[in-house]
Amino acid sequence: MGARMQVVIVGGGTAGWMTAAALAMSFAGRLADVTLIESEEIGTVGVGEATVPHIRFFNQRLGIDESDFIRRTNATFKLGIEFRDWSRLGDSYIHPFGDFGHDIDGLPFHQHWLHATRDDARDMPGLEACSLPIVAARDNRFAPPLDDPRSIGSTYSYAYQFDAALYAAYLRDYAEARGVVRIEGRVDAVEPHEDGVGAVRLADGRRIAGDLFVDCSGFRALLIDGALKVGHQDWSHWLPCDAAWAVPTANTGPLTPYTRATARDAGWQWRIPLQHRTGNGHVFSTRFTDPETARTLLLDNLEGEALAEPRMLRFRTGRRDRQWVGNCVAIGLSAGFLEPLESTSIHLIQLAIGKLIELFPAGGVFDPVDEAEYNRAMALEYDRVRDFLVLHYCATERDDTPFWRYMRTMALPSSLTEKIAEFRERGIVAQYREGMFLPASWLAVYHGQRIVPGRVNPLIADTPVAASQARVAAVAAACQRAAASMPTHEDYIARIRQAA
Amino acid sequence: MTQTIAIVGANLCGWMTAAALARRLPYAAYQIMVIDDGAAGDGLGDFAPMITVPPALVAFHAEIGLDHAALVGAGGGHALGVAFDGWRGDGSAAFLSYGETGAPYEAIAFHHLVGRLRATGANVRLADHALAAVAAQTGRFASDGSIAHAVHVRTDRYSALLRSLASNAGATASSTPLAAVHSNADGIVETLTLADGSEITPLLVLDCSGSAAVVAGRTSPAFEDWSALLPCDRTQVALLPAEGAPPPYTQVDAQDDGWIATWPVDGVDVRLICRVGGEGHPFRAGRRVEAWRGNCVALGAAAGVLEPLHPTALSLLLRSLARLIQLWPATPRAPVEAAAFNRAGAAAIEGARDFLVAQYAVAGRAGAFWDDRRSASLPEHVVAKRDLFAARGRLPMYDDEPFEEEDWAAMFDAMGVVPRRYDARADLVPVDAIERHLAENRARIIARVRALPSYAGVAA
Repeated sequence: MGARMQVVIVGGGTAGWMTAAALAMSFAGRLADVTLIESEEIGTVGVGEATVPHIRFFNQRLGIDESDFIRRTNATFKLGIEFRDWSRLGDSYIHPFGDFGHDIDGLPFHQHWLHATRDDARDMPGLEACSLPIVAARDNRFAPPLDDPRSIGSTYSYAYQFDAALYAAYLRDYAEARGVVRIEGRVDAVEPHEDGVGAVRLADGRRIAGDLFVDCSGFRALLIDGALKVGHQDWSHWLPCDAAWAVPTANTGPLTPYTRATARDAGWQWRIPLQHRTGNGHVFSTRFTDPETARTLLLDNLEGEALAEPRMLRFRTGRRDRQWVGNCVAIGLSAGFLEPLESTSIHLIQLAIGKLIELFPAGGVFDPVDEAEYNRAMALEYDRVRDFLVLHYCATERDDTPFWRYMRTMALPSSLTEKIAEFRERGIVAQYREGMFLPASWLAVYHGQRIVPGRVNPLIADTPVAASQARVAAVAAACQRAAASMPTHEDYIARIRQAA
Repeated sequence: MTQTIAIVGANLCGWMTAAALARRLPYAAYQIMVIDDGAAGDGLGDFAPMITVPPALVAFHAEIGLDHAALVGAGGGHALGVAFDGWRGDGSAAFLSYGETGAPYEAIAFHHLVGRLRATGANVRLADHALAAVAAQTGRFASDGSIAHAVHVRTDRYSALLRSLASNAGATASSTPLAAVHSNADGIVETLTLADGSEITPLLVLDCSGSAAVVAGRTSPAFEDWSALLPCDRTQVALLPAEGAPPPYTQVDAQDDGWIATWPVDGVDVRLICRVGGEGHPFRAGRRVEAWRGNCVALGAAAGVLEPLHPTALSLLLRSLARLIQLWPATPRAPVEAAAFNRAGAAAIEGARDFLVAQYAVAGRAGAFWDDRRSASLPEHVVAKRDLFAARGRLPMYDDEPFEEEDWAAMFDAMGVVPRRYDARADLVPVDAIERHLAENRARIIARVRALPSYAGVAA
């Protein structure tokens, strides 16, 4: 075992404290000493209050008790995301964290559903009725999935919606209890060293040296950009939203176990229900609207009473060319940002942390091979998430505003054009080894955005419609029964709170 | 209306294809016709009168109802792994077993735990911690499926069993061989003419005719030659009477210009020499650029050829068949389906090729042939895997590649590549806890192996 490494994390917030907590759990006090520098003067962006199911594995690795976490972060459960008005005004679909039915003889259930509903067969359940998390979500119910792989109750997963500031505070307690040293201070200057960073200087004159620097400084990207000048791929031509107004409101109506994303004239509006309030925001493109109009639009479309003045954030979509350079690794917004649709930010942070731990430069050994692998894997993730997000915008029939006309007709990444063409022709859903969105997610969005396959697999199309219809009806009935046996989302959370 | 699926090649590849499809295609809608291509061979490279069936095919056999006992027959032919002699620079032998090696501890992969122990000077062999390897070493075996294993089977028997299953499921064999192919510029085969003058208008032609690719060679002639990466181009087979009881594994000895494998099958030792030049059966490593073009899909050796060092021919065929069913076309012209099929197929066979290329590139054996393998310009994925494994025992993995991360790690280890570093988390576990974990795991393996019957009894 080499000497203990000095790891310096620049920036608190979600990325900083998630990194600190995970490194503390894995290495602190043994392989590495972890220091986190943050300044209370600088606010955190608090990326996304909604997550995807992988967050549960992150918490489990840290040994976090779910009930305690739910209580302390005012968290709610999330079975998916509802998209309103995306393909046509008046549309609504849910991208669920789960499957639609189950494969039959190696052929996807979706193909059977297409066959069963050919010629607009009346009385057949919609595709959404064949997804248990969607059926439960529409009825505001929640229960955790079952282990039995034969049960319909095992066909989904779930995530959380939580107060990101409380989550960061929760992880800060966790990390500090495990030896992470927090330094209050503002980074003023970065001292280079060979191909990386030697030390950072704080405004009060202190100098913090380290072996490994993790840049969690958000969009400012103090180290990776400010000091190391690593280039940035700009994706604003594909994802042109570059600003958001955010405002919390009082809760009204039933507590939904899902996030909502409603398309607007030049962007979209989020609605994230927490236990104590609802997070709202309007993401928009300044190329197509102005901040004042965007602010008014948000305030005009709130369900509950606003609890604060709206705050505006600016951002740009894209990713860093390299996220690990020398002894500096960028995690969070400093590494890239893909806008909050589909709640990918926290997941990308989590992935980056996982890769960093796998490739940890223990003993201060920085091997270009590790750096190359990290950069390959992370670039692939960002690129695939990008394609998935762009799909929501480009697969639309809307042409009612200049924004949507642009989105509908823009040139796409070739990797996405190919995927869409394969689905449109005959319902092929790409499958890959790495990448956060599985075929069921792609299917949900293709279907929700009204891309209808031109053909069904002939091995299904040539079989009697009645057989496929019976399969679809059976799955829908099972979903209905399973959902009806779940408690309401509100009751489920109330039980967790009472158990404290 | 019934549509005809013409399988060209009444051989192992063709009957495997027919058996897989006959189970899945609605009987009333399709006629599966297996047409003799007029050549002898197995459609999978014609390397030997036997073939290695990897563990992954056992599930497929169960699915189509193939009787495993009838397949293997009397006289043995089970392989718990492969013994590689003469590959490493230090001259030591290495054993690559099927099934699991060791067990992770606190979510740290086994070979990283081994890395930690080796750093303390301990001499740990992975094979000592694999059930299949220890069983192979002690000549024990269980035929009840409790140990992952491959089987060496005679291609004629395998083919006959598949033929009877396919025929029972409705596939037919033409009584006369193929005489002529009529295709257009887009690769659409309009008619196949048989020797008796009868004509077939197929929805799909599945070319299982081996390297000759009697149909795909015309409809999709472009072939990517990999002989710069894998220069072995001749195989020679000898059938030797087996002396004593057969061992339950394959033996592969490195040679100055290739390798020699010994596969015990049915009381006979099939000895195969694979090398550069010389006498024997010629072949060329490579793949058809578009395995599916027009309405002809090349399968088996018609789609691509790799030397039979690892049993990839059947597993690649099985993957292609599963993909073909997923992408089953409605009409002879199906460019979207073909493109999707070809993309995944190319990645799969390139992944299998890279495994071979990497093994040659890290084998330490001395000699001009081996020096050339090490200094050759390697594919990007091979370089990335070799370098990251050598650095820290990890492996970048790519879409659709047929070998898993553990397979790569085991192969590199067997060839003597020792990572410079290991997973940092292994440093957090006390060495004596790792030693205890390995000792307990090995004790469990030995206890299981002691309970197994001797292989000589199974094979008798």
